[in-house]
This record gives sequence, C-alpha cells and structure tokens, in this order.
Amino acid sequence: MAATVQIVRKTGAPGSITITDITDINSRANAYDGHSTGDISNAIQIPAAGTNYSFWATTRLKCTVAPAGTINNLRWFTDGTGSFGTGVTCKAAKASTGADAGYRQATGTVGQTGTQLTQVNHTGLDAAPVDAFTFTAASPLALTGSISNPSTGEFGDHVVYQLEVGTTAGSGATSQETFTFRYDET
Amino acid sequence: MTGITLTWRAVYRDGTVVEQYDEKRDPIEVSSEIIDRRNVKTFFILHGQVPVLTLHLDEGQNLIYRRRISVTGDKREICHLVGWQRIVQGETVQSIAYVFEDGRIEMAGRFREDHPWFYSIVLTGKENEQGLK
Repeated sequence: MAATVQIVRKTGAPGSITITDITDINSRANAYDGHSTGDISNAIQIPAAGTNYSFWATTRLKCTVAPAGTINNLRWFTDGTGSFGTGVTCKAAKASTGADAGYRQATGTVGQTGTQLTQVNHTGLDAAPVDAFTFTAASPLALTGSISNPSTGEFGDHVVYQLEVGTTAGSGATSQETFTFRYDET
Repeated sequence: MTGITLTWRAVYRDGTVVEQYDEKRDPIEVSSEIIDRRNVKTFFILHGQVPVLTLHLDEGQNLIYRRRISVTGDKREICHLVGWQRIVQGETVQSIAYVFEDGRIEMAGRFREDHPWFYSIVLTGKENEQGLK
C-alpha cells in the first residue's frame, strides 16, 4: 500500500522530545513549548512596544508505514497570504544542522513571549527565517531528505515557524492558517 | 470521479506485464522504481481495472512516473505524473500528463519549475542505476 505519512510537531527537551501527530488537526503557537488545538492559556502578550513572539513551532514529516519505494522531493509552503490579522506576522526556516537533526527546544518567557527565532538563538536553522508567506506552491521551501522501503520514522528537514506580534495586534485567537507539505512517492 | 484511488500497470515490449498490486506476488505491492523505463510499451493509470489514462511509448521514449502527494491539515491531494522523456539532438524532450485523483487530467510539455504541480522529479538511486537522466 502507499506509505502513511504524518506531519508531526516536536516539543520538549533533547533526549525527551515529545512528538505529536498534527496531520489532521490544528496546532497553536502560544507562548509556551507545547502543542494544543485550543489552549488559551499562555497566550502571547501584545507588547506595549517592540515585538513579542510565539515559542517557535517545529514540524517534520514522519513515515509510519514505509513506502513501496522511495519518498523524496519534499516541499513546504503556505497559501501566500498572511491572514493572522493586524500586527501579526510569521517567519519560517528549515532546520537540519547539528544535533537532533536540527531540532532545538523553543525557549522564552512562558505566558509572555518566546525567544526570537534567529540562527543565533536556534543553532539548528539552515538559514535565517523569512516571511513564511513568501513560500508558495510555485515557490516553496525545498527540503532535503528522503525515506525508502523498508524504513519508517521521521525524515526530511524540520520546518520551524514563529509568530511575531506587534503593538497593533488585536487580542484573542488569530485566524487559522494552513501549511502544506508535498512529496513524491515511487 | 471524485476521491478515487488510482494504480498503475506497465506493459513491456515483450508483453511482460508489471502490476503495482498483485495478490499472487510477494510483496503484493511493488514500487515504480522497479519498472524498466526504457522498455515500457504501454503504461496505464487505472481506476480498478478501468484505464483512466493510457500512455503509448515509442522506442527511445523513457517512461516518467511519480505519485505526488500534498498534505494540508486533513486534506490530501494526489496527482500521478505520467509521461515520457527522450533525448533529441542532445536536448531533453518531455511530455507529461498530470492525473489528479479528483478526476482532473492536465497535459503539459516539459517540467515547469515555477508551477505548483508540474515541477521535475528527483531520480532515486535505483533509477540512477538504470542510467536514466
């Protein structure tokens, strides 16, 4: 049968990483390191000046049923339009550098702001984060990596994203955005 | 056709048939990587036993096939890339059909790197061993 591939979100400290299947659900980017679909605690505080951030969210593909052949040619993209609302933007980058295939636990001040996603603060990033909505179906973030029969497990680069909240942001949950992974299978 | 599942069948020039799924075989499913792409005469995309698309290949035309999958939340889109490639006077010539599992079929010539679906494939190790380009 065709491979079974999940989108997973990873949280927690190295050595005890929590891997959550978010394939068919939403995952909130709050001001703490954890997955939830509707948690309203630990919201990102709207700053009086400057920018506050979500704790960065780390996602990756995971194969639970091996392909008959190979999965490769991985891509990640958005719909090209940021609809989180006034004063809220999103940056993304891929991560595969160093330990844990580039995974780094998100840090910050719980209930206030995450640490800004930069290559200094996240040493697993392959490049500086950019506006996530520059990655579209026609101009995606190309990910390296593949998986072949009979292997299962995580594969491909991590995709890490973070919401940035400015002083003009409105309170409450933002509109939901969808991100897409695309791949080829033989 | 909406939300259908499509499979493939390859027929070589000597009449040998390779099915993606064969319950008499172990393993039941084989990867398209095993297809000898230089020797395919006819390639089918099937819905059950009904050909949705039939590709007839001339000598010198190498089969191109991939199953391309998009995962967005709880939505999956699947597209089967079916076509051929040959070298003409040092240039690579391609013709590809894109068979979507929602019923659409679109035709294009060469791969288009700035298109959401029509971009090129990446050959696997086994395909590289066949000397495909």
